Parts: sequence; structure tokens; C-alpha cells
Amino acid sequence: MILRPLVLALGFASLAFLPAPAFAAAAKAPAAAAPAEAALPVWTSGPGSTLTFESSYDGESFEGGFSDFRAEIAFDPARLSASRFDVRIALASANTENDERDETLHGAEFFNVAALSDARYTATAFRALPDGRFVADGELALNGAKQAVPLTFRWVGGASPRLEGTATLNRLAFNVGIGDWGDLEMMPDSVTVTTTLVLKPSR
Amino acid sequence: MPFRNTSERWGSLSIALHWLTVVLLLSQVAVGLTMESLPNTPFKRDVYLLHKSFGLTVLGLTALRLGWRFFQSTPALPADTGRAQRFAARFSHGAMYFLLIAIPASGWTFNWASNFSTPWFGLTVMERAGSVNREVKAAAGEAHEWGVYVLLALLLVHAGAAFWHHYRLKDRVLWRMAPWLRPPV
Repeated sequence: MILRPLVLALGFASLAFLPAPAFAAAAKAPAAAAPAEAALPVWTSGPGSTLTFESSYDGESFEGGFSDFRAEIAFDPARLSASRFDVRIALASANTENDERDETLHGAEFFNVAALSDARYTATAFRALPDGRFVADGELALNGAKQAVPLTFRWVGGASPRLEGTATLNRLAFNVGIGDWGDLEMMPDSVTVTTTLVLKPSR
Repeated sequence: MPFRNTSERWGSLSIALHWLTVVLLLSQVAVGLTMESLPNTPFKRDVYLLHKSFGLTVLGLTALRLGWRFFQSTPALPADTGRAQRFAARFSHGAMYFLLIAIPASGWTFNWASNFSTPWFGLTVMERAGSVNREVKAAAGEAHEWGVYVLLALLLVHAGAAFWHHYRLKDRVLWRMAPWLRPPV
């Protein structure tokens, strides 16, 4: 009969009107059941979190901190491959308890806040250390440069987890302290960054 | 020239400290009025370190001058100097000594309230405070600046009076502080 191909064609055509996710869900249904694929809950840095840096000039050490930063942390020691860090740092919030130094720090030869207001640290690769700590093999985007900066941290799990981490980076790789400030005899290249994140559930 | 002051003239130490203070003061004012507008470079920091170091030096030298003055006589004013003029001389000298202490001291306070350590030619005289104190900083900054303007005004009166004595009254008031000048008859 002439009707049979017509009905079949209509039947196939109707499939096209199914919502796309229904297709995807149907296709992925067996895989989604495996726990390894489920996204980890995301935590956000809450009150009490700190992000500080330490350096020295002409033999006198100083410490500074960022009062404005936001860390989004998805981390599970048992599921490092699903873990993710995403941290945004407002550079203009850098404070070393000295107005003159802070003005220099925000200026063109250091953080150049006028050109790019934020730095961003992202990590998707993690490894466990024998002493129970972890390393995030992340990247820091700062001042137009993007460089690998490993962050070593201790993870204190629980309902309100804490992350205590430290990283060492080379300021000149990020064009921080250029021009006459690049004199390493006066100001070392290596800067130690320390953070404590007091985490709360995101949203 | 005697080392100590006499009732007739200033001794060599008083003369040396006086003129050293003049040179330091004028250089400090010149540098102090221009250094703020320098770009934020290590050079600016070096200029500030020197301004602070020389300022502390002025403070120390002024303390030394006052101490030296306290323990001996000072040359007498000419016998025909009137009461009002004696008072003006006393008052302006006292005010200048006060400002030569107060201006460096307010600068030091400004530096302390800004949370800088106190330098003296590479030495650290005082560690930094640990935090910024903005109210103290603003007040000390104002005092430092206005103190300089008042001192410069007094300096004009002081130098004007000295020239008046030397060229109009033709007495030895300036000569005994500047003995390389030809003494008036």
C-alpha cells in the first residue's frame, strides 16, 4: 500500500520533535549512573578566608593581603580527577598596611590595576602527596601572563571544609615589579603566597 | 676664633652648626617640595630616605645647638637695642629653634603613622608601627608643611634683620656669625 511508507516517514519525522536532552539522556543513561561522572559540590570562600603574600624590599620584609577575592572550590580527596579550583582576585584590594607602597603596588609597574583588574587562578589537575597534603597543578593568569603555579595545600573536610595552602611564584614571570623595581638585589623574584579558605556551600 | 661663645661673639662650634643648619634646611625644603611629584620608582624611595635621614640630622643638630647654648653665654645684643627689638629677637629665635625641632619631629611622626621604619643613612632608628594611622598621618603632614612655611617666613625676617644690622646700623651682629665678612667700622 502507498500508506505504509507514509506512516513510517511520519513516525521518523516525529522523532525530530523530541527535545534534544531526551536524546542525550537516552544515549548516556548507562554512563551517568557511574559515580565517577557526577559533578562535585562547589564550595565558595566565606568569611575568615585570607589570601596573603610575602616579600621584602631592601632587606625589610613586608606582608600584604587581598581583601577582595572569591574562590570556587570543588574538591574531594577521593575524586581528584573531578576536582576543580577557580579563584578570582581583585588586584586593587592588595593591602600592605602602607598607603605609599600600595599605590606603587596598584600602579603600572606592579599589578597595573588600571589595565586588568583581576587575576585568576584555575586548576583541574590534582595529586596527593605522601604526607596527606595535595598539590593543585594550576595556572595563574596575572598581568596578561599565564604561568603554571602549583599550590600545595592541606584539606580539612567536613560540613564546612577548610583549605590551607601555599604557593611560590616568580613575580617577574608576571611582570610584577618591572622597570627599576626589577632589581633582584633589592626585591627578590620569588614571592610566597599563602591562603586559608573557610568554605561554605555555593549559593 | 674661640671655640666657645663669648659675650662679644659666637664661638666656632656655634657658627659651624648655624651655617650647617642653613644649608641642610634649604636643601631639605627644596627636595621636600619636589619629591612628592616624582614617579613611584626606587629613585623616589632613595630621595625620601635621604630627606628623612637629613631631617633627623637637623633634629639632632638643633638639640645639640640648644644644649650648647644652654651651657654658656650668648653674645649680647648691642647696648642701644630697644625693648621691642630685644623681644622680637628673642621671640623669632625661640620660634625658629622650636620649628627646627617641630618640623623634623612632625616628619618623623608622619613617617611613623605611614607605617615606615625610621631610617638614618642605612641604619634603622625605629621599627615600623605595624599599621597605618590615617588621622595622625594627616595631622602630622599638615604640621610638617605649615611649619616649613612659617619657618621660611621667619627666615626672611631673620636674614632681613641681619642685613639691617650689617648695612644700615653698621654694628657687628651679623659679622660675629659671619666672620668672613668685612667687619663694619
